[in-house]
Amino acid sequence: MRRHRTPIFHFILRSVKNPATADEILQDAWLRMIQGAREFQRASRFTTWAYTVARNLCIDHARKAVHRRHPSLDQARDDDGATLGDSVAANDPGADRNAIGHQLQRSLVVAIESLPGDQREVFVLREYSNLSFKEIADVVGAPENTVKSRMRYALERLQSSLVEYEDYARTLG
Amino acid sequence: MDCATCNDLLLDLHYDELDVARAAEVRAHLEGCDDCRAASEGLGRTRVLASKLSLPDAPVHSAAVMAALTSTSPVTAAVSGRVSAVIPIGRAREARSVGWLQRVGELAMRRQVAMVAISLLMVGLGLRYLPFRSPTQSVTTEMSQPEVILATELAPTPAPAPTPTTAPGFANSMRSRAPVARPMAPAEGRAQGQAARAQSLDALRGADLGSGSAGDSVGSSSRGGRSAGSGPSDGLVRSSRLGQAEAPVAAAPAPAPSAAAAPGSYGGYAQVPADEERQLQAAMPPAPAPAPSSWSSARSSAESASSRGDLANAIANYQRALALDPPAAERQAIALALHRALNSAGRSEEANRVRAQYLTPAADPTALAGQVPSSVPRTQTGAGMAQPSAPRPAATRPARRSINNVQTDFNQSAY
Repeated sequence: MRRHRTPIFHFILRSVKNPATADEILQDAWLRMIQGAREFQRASRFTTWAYTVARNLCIDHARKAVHRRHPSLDQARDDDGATLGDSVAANDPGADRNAIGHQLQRSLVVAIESLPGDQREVFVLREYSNLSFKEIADVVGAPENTVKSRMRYALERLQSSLVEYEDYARTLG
Repeated sequence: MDCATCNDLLLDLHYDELDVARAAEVRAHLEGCDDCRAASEGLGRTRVLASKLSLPDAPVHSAAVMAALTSTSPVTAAVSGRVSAVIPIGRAREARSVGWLQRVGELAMRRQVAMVAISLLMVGLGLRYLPFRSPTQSVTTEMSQPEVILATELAPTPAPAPTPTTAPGFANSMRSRAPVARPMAPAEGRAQGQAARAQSLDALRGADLGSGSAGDSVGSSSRGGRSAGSGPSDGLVRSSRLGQAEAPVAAAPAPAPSAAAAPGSYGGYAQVPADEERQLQAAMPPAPAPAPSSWSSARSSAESASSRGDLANAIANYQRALALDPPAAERQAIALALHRALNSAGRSEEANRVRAQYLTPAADPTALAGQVPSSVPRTQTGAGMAQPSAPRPAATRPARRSINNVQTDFNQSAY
């Protein structure tokens, strides 16, 4: 469970854009897994099932969030990409030492969260959760080719959003 | 391989989802195609940038959630290897125990359990506080038939010496059972509690209540006032039919005269000495009835004297027992015994006076209470009978009742 905890939490966080809400949904997801243990099909992978549960909870939260608009710390509040969380003092001492890295982190978050939902979930599941395209297709309930198309669109959008970091990426790569 | 096919396979190539042969074909195409190579490099740079995103650590969940996951469930079976690799054995055992407690807690918090607990609580409170009526009370509510007894037992001809038909053991058992099973009005309960305290006081004093001394008689009279409010003891009433209730235990609490049932007229007497009690007794016009132990001891002395053939002593004790103002039902029995003793002693005039004073229905209507007709089966006092209604107060009864009325009341109460 601990192996999946951080990737699933990140997947939820990128969806709900709020750490506290993501934590609640993550705990809810664990409890749902416990309660629905009898329904778990051994033929499928536990990873796929866990992400499916988490995704369903994210969708439920998004539907409820339509009626209550909470400002998110990670949500961009203006066009320059600054979020509400940026106005809060950071406790990370490395943030000042690595200005580019910090800026990249913020730009990445903004770029990922600005993706359409279907593309974002595919990108996060493939890039950070390391699920195969077939497993992602099982999670999101879409054909594998559709998943690949969404992934490609997501990468193209991110590439255009992070064009200013291409030189930085070349130095890293 | 054309560029379109290469573009379709670029993602699989970057994420290592192509077999070796297919990957070699794509790489060969990329080496000869600048556009496809540029697209592939762009994807690679984007992936490099995306990989720099640090994933936030998920918060540590509570032990209960993790313990539930380590319990014996299909999920655990599926991930048991991974979980055991992550969670140390000691923590896994602790987690299992927490999971067991959690399951018990969930079971205890179900609504059905709460409903059962509330129901049991209500039943328990009901059994504890709700008054239950004794089946033996059916006899006391059917006080309508004593006139039949009087008609048969109060014959003008002197009857032979009464022989107790009720065994003392039976009377004792009825006495011990009746107060428990009978419903108790508040005033009744208070009076019985005071009577019990008075008996305890007697035990502490070690007084011989059967000695018949004046001090004891008066003191007992005042104590009897405390028990005056107690209701009839049904088993005793059965055993105290006229001419039959001879056992001393049969003289236990009996219906009180209405005049002595005034609440508060005897409160606090248990704490005053006997002399003061006498003064108070003289000062208070509605004197409470004497304690059963006093007149019953006098009656016992009279009976023992009668059995010895000492009629004079027996008559004197009977008269003293009557003078101590026993309860109505017992007064009838004592008067009958006195009447017979006087007849046996040849003192017919005194016997007639006693009969006129005590043994006529007009003399004391309340004396009819507590008598059971000979036609009533004995089993009616046992358990399983219908619940009787509360006994009516003596003051509301007519002075005389006809046999027809009596029989009607009896039938109504029996059915």
